[in-house]
Amino acid sequence: MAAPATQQIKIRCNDEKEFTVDRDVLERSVLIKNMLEDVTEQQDAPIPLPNVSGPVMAKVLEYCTHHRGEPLPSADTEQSQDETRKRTTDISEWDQKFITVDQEMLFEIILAANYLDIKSLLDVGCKTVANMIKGKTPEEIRKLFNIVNDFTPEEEAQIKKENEWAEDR
Amino acid sequence: MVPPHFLVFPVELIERVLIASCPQDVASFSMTCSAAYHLVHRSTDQFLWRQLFLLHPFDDPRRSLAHDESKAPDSIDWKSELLRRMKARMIAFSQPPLIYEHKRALETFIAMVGEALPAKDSQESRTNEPSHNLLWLHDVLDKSRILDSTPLPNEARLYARLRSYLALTLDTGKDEKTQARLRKRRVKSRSYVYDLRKYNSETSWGPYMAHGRVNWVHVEHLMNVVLMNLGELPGTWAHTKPPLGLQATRPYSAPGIRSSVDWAGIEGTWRRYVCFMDYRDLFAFNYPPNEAHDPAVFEDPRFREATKLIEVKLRIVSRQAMRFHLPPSTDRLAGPDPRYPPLCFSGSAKGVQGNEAVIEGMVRMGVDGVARWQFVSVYDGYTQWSSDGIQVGNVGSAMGVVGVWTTALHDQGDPVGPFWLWKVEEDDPTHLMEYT
Amino acid sequence: MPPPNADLAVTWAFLEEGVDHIMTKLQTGVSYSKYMSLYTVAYNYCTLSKMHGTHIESLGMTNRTGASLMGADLYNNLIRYLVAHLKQLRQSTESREDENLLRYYAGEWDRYTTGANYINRLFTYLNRYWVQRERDEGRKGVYPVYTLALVQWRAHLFFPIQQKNTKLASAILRLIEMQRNGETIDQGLVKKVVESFVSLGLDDADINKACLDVYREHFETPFLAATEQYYKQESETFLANNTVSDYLKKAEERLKEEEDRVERYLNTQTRKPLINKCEDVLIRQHAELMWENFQTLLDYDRDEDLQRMYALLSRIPEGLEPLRKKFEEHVKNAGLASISKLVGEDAAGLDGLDPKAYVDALLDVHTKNSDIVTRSFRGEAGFVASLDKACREFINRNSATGTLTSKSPELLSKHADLLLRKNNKLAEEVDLEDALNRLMVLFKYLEDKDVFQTFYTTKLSKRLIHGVSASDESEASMISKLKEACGFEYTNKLQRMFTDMSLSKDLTDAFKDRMQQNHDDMDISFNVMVLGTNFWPLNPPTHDFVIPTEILPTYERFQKYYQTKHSGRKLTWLWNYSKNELRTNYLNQKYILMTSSYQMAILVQYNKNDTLSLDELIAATSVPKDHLIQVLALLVKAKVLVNEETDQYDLNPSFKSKKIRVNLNLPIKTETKAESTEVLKTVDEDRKYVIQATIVRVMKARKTMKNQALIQEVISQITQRFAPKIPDIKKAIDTLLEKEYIERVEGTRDTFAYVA
Repeated sequence: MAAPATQQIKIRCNDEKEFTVDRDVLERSVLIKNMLEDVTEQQDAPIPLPNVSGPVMAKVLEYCTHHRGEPLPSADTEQSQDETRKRTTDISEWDQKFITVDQEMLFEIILAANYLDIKSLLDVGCKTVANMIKGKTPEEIRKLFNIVNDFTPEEEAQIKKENEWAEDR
Repeated sequence: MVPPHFLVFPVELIERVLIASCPQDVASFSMTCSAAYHLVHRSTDQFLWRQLFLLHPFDDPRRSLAHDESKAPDSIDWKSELLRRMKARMIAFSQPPLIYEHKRALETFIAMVGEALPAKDSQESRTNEPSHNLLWLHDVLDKSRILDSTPLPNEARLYARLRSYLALTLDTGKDEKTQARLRKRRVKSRSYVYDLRKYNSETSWGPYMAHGRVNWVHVEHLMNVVLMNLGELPGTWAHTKPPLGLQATRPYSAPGIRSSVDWAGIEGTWRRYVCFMDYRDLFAFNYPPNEAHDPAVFEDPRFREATKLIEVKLRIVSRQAMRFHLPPSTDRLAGPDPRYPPLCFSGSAKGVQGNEAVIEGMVRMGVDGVARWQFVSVYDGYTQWSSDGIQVGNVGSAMGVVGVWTTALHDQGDPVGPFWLWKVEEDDPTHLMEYT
Repeated sequence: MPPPNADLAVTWAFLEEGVDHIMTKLQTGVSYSKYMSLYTVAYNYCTLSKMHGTHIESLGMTNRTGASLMGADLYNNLIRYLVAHLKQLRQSTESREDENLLRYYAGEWDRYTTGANYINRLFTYLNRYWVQRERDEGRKGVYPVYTLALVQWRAHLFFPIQQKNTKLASAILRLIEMQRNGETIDQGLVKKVVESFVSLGLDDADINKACLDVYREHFETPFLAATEQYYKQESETFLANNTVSDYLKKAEERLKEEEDRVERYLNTQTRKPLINKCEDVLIRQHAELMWENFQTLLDYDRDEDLQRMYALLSRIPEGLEPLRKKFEEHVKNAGLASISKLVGEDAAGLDGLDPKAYVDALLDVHTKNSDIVTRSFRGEAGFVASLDKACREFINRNSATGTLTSKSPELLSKHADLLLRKNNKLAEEVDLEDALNRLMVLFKYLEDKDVFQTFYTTKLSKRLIHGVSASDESEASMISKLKEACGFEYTNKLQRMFTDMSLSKDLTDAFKDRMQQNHDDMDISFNVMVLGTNFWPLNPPTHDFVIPTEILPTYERFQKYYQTKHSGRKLTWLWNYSKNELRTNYLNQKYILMTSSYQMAILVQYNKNDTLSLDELIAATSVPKDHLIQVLALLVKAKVLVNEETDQYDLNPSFKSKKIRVNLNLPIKTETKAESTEVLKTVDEDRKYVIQATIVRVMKARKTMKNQALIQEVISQITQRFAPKIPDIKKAIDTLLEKEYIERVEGTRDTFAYVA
C-alpha cells in the first residue's frame, strides 16, 4: 500500500500526452489537490487536463518539482487582495532561468498556472510580463505584443495629455 | 491552435500583470489601444488603481489618522490620489524646473506626511512597519533636491514646513558646498530667532502668524539653531538628540503606549534642549546704537551660544488642578475634532544644577491641524519662564515639540530663545548637562 | 464537454447536469473526468471575459469590463437551480410533521451541504475572482458558492417551513418536552437539526465567523419560553403535592438534566440563558417557601437537605441572605438556651456557676454549628460571619452574664486557671492542649478581652506564687496561644513573671550560699520571690505589720544582702501573700502548720503566752482589728485556738488532726470576692487610659479631625481589646481638652486639632 507522499498519479493532457507524477509534486496545483481529496473512489483512468498541452505541462511540472515541499499559500491570502500588501518579491535566479522562454510559451505557462491554480507560478509569470513592459513606450509595447493602434489622432492626443504625468522617469 | 495573444488573456490576468507593474508602465500600456485604455481608465470599479496604489507601496490611507471612518469605504479616489503623487514626483524631478507647479507638488508631499501610517495601533506599543509614504517621499526629496531651490513668495511656507519635517537630514554631506550652505543658513536662522521684533502678543511669543496659524518659516529657523548647536556637542552628548527626519513625524512614533485619552502622548519622561545667547549680545543685536539686526554679530568667531539639556516629567491633570498657568476656558480652545480635546498637564523639570522647576501647561489641536503646546516653568512658587511651541509632524511624533521660550512677564527686551522638547523611554540613560 | 467558447445556454446545460448529479446522486460517485470537465467548463466560461470579447461589443457595453458580466451569468443560474431544487424539497415537507419532518429535513440537510461543499470546489475559479471582486467593491448579496447554497436553503426552505407555525422548531421542542417527560428520543437527530440552525446564521461583515442569529430567533428564544412554561407548571404542581425536601431533590435533578441537554445537542451559547431561566423558575420563584422551610431543617439536623437547599439558593442572587439571617438567629437562640438551662439547673446560682460547665456549654453550641457551616454551607464566608455574629452575642450576653459583659471573660479565665493548676481533676480527664485550644476559640469572641487578660494575669501570679502550676510546658503553651491572639505587648508582661520566678530561685540559692559561709546559725529555711512591681498585679499590704522576732534576723540579713546586689532598689514585703510553716512543740504529736504570715504572727505570740486578748494581739501584730478578727476566726475554726470568752483567744492544748501537715492558709471568702472587684476596677482604669492614649495617637497623626470621625477611628482601633462605649470616649475627649492635649478648632463646633 503506497503512502500518499510517494503515491504516483497519472495525468493526461489535451494532446494525449501522459505523465506519471509523484502526488506531492502534483499537489502544488490546488485544483488537483482538492480533486484528489474530493474524489475518494479509486480511479484507474488518468486525470484529464483539458486546458493544458503536453509541452506546457512539462514546463509546469519542472517548476513544481523544483519547488516541491514548499508551503502552499493559505486559502486566505487569495481571499482579499486588498490585504496582500506584500509585493511579489523579486524572482529567484532559478525561476528567472526557468521562465526565460519564448513569448508564446510564457503566456501558455501563465494560463496553465491560472487554470491549475498554482499561485506562485502565476505570480512569476505575471511579474515576467510586467518586466517586459517596463520602461517601454506605448509603441514599443504594441510591437512587443502585436497590438493594433485603433485610436483616432484626436483620441491619441487627448490620451497622451491625460497620461503626461507618466512621462518623466 | 492560435497562439495566445496578450489581449486575449482573461481580464483578471491582464490586471494581475498590470498590478505587478509600476503606474508609469500601466499608463504606457493604456496608450496602446482603446481596449487597453478602457481597461485601465474606464473601469467601473477601483480595483486596479487601489491595488496599484497600495502595492506601490504607499501607506493605506484608511489606516491613517486623517481618515474619517464615518465616510463610506469606497469614498477614496485611489486613481486620483496615485496620479497626484506621480505628478508631484515628476514636477520635483523636472529639469528645467517647473517652478509654477512646485506649490501643487509640495502640497501633495505635505499631505502624504499627514497620511503616514501611525507607528502604533491603538492600545499597543508595538511599532508597525516603516511608513512607505515617508520612505518614498524621502527618496524623492533627496534625489530631486527640489528643496534646494529658492521658493517663490507664496511657497516659502511650504518649503519651510517640509524642511522642518526633514530637520536637516538631507543636508548631511561633508563637502565644502554643503558646509558653506549650512553656515549661511545658521547665520540667517540665528538672525531670525533672536530678532525680538518677532515676539509680541500677535504672535503669542511663539512661532505663529496672526490668528494662531503656524509660521513654518519661524519653526524651521528654530530647528536650525538648535540642530546646528547640537552638531557642536562634544563626545557623548552628540548622541543625545531627538529622532530626526520624516519617519520621526509619524503619529505615535514617540515612546509610550498609544492612548485615546492621552492623544498627545503627554504622560512620561521627556528631554528638552534650550539655547540662549549672552544677554549683552542679544541686546546689542536688537537695539541701537549698533546697527540693528546686523547678522555680523553671529558671524563673529567670539560669538557664543549656550545649550542646556533638561529632564522633564509630565502627567495629565484636570484644569482645576492647575495652580500657576491658567489657560483660557476650554470651549474657546476646543478644535473641530472631538478626538483631540484640550489637555492640561503638570510636571517637573530638572537641570544639571539640580534646580527643579514645576511645569504646568496645556496642549491643544490648533486650527491648522498642528498640536500646540504651551507651558510655564515655576521656581520656588514664582512663574519665571513661558514656552510656546508646536508638534513637528503628526500627534505623538518622535521628533517632538519645537518652539520659543521667553520670560513669563513678556516685558520688552526680555530674552528669548529656541527650545526642543521630545519624549524618551522611561529608563533613558541620558545625563543632564549644560554646554557653552 | 462543450468547447471553450460555448455560449451561456450550452455551458449552463452542461454544468447544471453535473451540479444536479452532485446534489442528488453524489453517492454514485464522480470520476476524475467528470470533475475536471465541470471545473474546466466553468473556468472557460469565466475566462471568456476578454478586453476584445465579442460578448462585450454585442451587448453594447463597451464601457464595462467583462469580468463582472461573465461571473454574474453563472452565479445567477446557480441561484436559479438551487431555488428550483429547494422548491422540490419544500413540497416534500408540506405533508410532514414532527419527527417525520425532522428526519426528512436532517437527511436532506446532510445531502445538500455535502453536495454544496463539492460544487463549491468546482466553482473555485468563480469564487476566487468574480465573487471576491464583487465583495471587495462592496456589492451586497454576493457570496462564495457554499455560503450561497446556505443562503438559498435558508430563504427557500427554512423560512417557508418555519412560516407554517414554526413547524420545524416546534417539532424539536415537542421532542424535548417528551424527553423531559421521561421518554427516550433520538438525540442525534435533534443535534443535527439544531446545528443546521447555527450554520444558517450569516454575519455579513465576516462570512467565516459563526453567527447565531437564526439559531437564536428560531430556536433558542422559543426553547427558553417553552422551558419556562414547562418548569413553572411542574414546580407548582410538584410543590402542591410533595414536601419541600423532595422538591429540592427534584430541582437539583432538573438542573443537572438541563446542563446535560446543552452538552448533548444544544449550542454552548445557550447554556447561560437556559440555566439562568431554570434557576429563576425553579428556585427564585419558590425561594420564599425554601426560606420558610429552612428553620425546620436546622431544627431536625437534616444535613442532606440543608446542603441541597444551600446549593440551590446559592445560585440566585440574594438567595442566601435570608438563610444567613435565620441561621444567625438560630445559633444565637441555641447558645442562649443552652446557658439558660445551665443556670436554671445549677442550684448554687450565678456565683457558683461551674466554669467548666459554662465553657463546655458554649463550645458545644459553637462546635455543632460550626460543623453545620462546614458541612452544609461549604464554609461560605457569609455563614461563617453569621455564626461569628451569633456567637459573639450569646457568649458575651446570656443568662449567666446578665448585663455584665465582664462575666464571660471572668468565667473563661477561671476555667483557664483551673486547667493550669496542679492536681486538678480536669487535667487528668482531658487533653490539656486540646482544652486550651478550645478555650481560645471562645476567647476570640469576647468583647472585653482586656477583662480576661487582667484576670488571667492575676490568677497566673497566684499560681506562680503558690507554686501550683500544672506544668511549665502547659503554661508556656497557653502564653504562646495568647501571644497569637493578643500580641506581643500583652504576653510580654506574663513572660516577665516567669523570668522573675527563675531569677528569684537563683537569688535564693545565692543567698543561702552566702549565709552558709558567714552565718551558720540559720535554723529557719527561707525562700524568697523577688518580683518586679510593674509586672505583677499584686497589691502591697494595706497596713503595718510587726515582724515577729523569730524571723527578724533572716529578714534583716536578706535586706542587707539584696542591697549589696542591687543598691538603689526598694523591697516591699508582701506579707499578705507570704506563707510559713510552723512546727508545734506543745502537743503530743508534732504537727506542721502551714499558715499565712498573719497567722504565724499571731501564733508565735503563744510562744510566750497561753492566752491573749484581742487588743493584745492587735498591739503585737499591728494588724487592724477587722482583718485580725477574720484571721482569728479561721484559726478558731481549725481548732488551733479557742475562743470562749469574747475577744479572748487561748491556745488549744488538745488540738488534734488526722494529717501531720495541716493547712490553715485558706483563702478568706471576702478576699475572693474582692479579687473580682479589684480586677474590674483595674480594667476600668486601664480602659480610660487606653482610650485617651488612642485619641492622642490618632490626633497626632491626623492633626485635625471631626468629632464623629474621631470616635469611629478610636472604636475601630480599640475593638480588638474591648468594645469601647461612646460615652466613655466622649469623657476621654473632654479630659484631654482640659489637659490641653487637644483643642477645639476655632469657629467649629465639632472639629478638634492636635496640640503639639
